Amino acid sequence: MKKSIVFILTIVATNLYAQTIDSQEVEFRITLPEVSLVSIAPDNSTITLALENTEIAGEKVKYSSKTDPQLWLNYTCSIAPNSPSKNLTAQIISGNVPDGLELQLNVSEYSGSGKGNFGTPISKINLQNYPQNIISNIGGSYTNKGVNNGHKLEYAIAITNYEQLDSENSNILTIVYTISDN
Amino acid sequence: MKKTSIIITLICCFAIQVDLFAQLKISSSSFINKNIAAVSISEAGMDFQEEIVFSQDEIMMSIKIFPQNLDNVVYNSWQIHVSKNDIDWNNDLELYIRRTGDGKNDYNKKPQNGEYFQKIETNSSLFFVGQGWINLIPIQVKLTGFSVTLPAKSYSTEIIFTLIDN
Repeated sequence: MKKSIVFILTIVATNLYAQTIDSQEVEFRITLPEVSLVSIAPDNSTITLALENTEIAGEKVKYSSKTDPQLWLNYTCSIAPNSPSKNLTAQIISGNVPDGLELQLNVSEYSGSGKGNFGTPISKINLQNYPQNIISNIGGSYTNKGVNNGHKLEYAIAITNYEQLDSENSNILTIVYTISDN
Repeated sequence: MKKTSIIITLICCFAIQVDLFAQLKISSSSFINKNIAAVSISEAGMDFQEEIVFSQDEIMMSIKIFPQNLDNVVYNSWQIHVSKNDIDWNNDLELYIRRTGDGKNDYNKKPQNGEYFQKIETNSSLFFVGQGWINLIPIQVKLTGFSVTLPAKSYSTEIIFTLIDN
């Protein structure tokens, strides 16, 4: 009996060797920044919009797009907790829309291979020389880059006043897109 | 007589247990604080890069088992286990760890295992094993899973290294 007690004690003592004898902690902290980036694809795109003469007197003047109007709005956005979502605005920053015309912009729903909470586009606006929301409530998201990713932009012109149309009038406009807090 | 031998054995057992202690020392900073730069996003529309691999000696670890005698300094084998304790974390974030060197040792004892990145989980897992005293084992950390879709803020977790005597 006593031999077995000694044996058991020896086993217990041996087992005590295989034990946790120290531990150390290293705190790891990573900080993700707020990011707001926007671009148009293809880069530095120029589109030409024109009105064409009609062949028959009394018909409406025809609108035509002389270059491929398919531009895509790409953006990346990250948002801090308790921060508002972001908006995207469009504004004419140089040049004037010829008299008698409106420059319209249509923004499509998001499509592509990005991820996150994409914003809600407006259906159509008349572009002005002040910023107007074109996409609202953008959350943490990235659209991916290039054409066919993001929101497709389509420009068009509409005649608002025939009396003011001037066939010699041709203007160059610059439109800027800005992503900012709601 | 037999009673006496039992008591002596008992005392010896506890004496051995009390004498055995060790030092798992992190000789680098015990606080790793990193910022992911917004400029790491190359273009609008893109997410952050997929992973960040920090320096090869982000953590420097030294292991000593006491008392200082030939057995402990040269032969006593041990294991290092690793786990994490999330403080303010997101499950999309994944931390990986690996050993990038053998450290310094007077008796040419080198640690084994742990050379390849392994994910740090909340449950402890074996990282690497070794024998005797080894100083300044370099350890590298890798982070994946971060994205602009996560809230922009600080995330922190505690990496726990546990020394187990074999």
